[in-house]
Amino acid sequence: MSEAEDRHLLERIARRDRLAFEAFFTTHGPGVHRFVRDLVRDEGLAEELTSDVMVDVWRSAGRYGGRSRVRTWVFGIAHHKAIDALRRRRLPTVPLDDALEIPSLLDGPDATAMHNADRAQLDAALRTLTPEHRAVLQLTYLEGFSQHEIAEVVGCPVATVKTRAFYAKQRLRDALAPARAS
Amino acid sequence: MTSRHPVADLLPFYANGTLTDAERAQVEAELASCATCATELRAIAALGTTLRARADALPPVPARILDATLARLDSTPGRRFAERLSGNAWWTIPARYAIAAVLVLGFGGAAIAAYEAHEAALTPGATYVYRVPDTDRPATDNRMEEAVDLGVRSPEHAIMPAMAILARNATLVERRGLVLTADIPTARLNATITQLAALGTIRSRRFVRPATGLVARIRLSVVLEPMLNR
Repeated sequence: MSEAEDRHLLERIARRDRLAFEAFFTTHGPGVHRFVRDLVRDEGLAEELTSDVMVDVWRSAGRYGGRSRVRTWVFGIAHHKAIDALRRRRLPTVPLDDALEIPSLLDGPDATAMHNADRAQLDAALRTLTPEHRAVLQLTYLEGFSQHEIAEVVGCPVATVKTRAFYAKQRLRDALAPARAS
Repeated sequence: MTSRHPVADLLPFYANGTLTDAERAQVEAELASCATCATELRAIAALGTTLRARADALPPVPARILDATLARLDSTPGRRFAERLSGNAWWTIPARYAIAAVLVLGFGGAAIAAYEAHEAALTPGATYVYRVPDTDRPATDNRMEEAVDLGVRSPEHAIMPAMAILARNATLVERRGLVLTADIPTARLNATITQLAALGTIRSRRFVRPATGLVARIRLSVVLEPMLNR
């Protein structure tokens, strides 16, 4: 769905058009659900959060300012709710790596092994990442956001997004390395 | 040892096609001369493929989320859908007014005269069914379209209960001729069809488009036409 179509739907939702809301849910619900599910790693909570996000869309569509793409706006809501839910649950967090220096690429990635990593190994590897890293991975690789849009979604500087994107990939690769070796 | 390749942190965004022209040119210049970065880019592409394959393999969004969310909308600030459609207020809403007009027009004038002539010819105590033709509307993405033949004994007695059922379960969208179109969330489809069927006879059900969407909906098109006595 194009940005113009998204905005038109939001305008209709602001006028309490349920059909537009359902179309919006159909378009963005799967991505939002996938995003929050990978962040909180709890199916029940992910369903609640997806619903919460969409109810927020229903309530605040009239206040959408148009400063960002609609998808960016929606994922920003989703990210905020997911991170807030994680904090409320007091799940363990890992210090961010924003201050770290980008390491060398000389280790040499193993594209084939990454590609062939099976689902269980990949799930296990993803679980070792911080929510911040999982968020950036998903927004980059699945949702196709730009670095600037991700910065807006997760509320951090663009430089931090780049760093997180780099480290998320590195750590995922490291987590998969034992599986590759075996 | 740590050393930073100039474009290392841009590669994921080069791969997903969101860099600016200047950034893209910078990356491509680096890729042309740096085998490490080129290899890294291939790894990033593979990672994207892997993550997308994983996402595709995950269970779809449960349809109950949409249903639950729609139910929550009714209790959120703003106009309440249930209130709009319940009691005596539904025809005061423009869309409902249009549908009411359809009913009046559809069964008014010549149509009413024709129906009254038909009614006069009915045999007391006999059961009559009225055919609900298939819609010719095209199916849209993420939706499946179903045409239902709804048999009813009397348009006057049947259409208002049918409207009430649709009002509780669906969003009435438009009409085409005597066709009333309503979108029904998939989660409510069976219950809605069951309720509608209880009004008369569902003569056929046809999926125009398979239910492949995560929150696929049914477009229920209804028109009442007298059929042969049976």
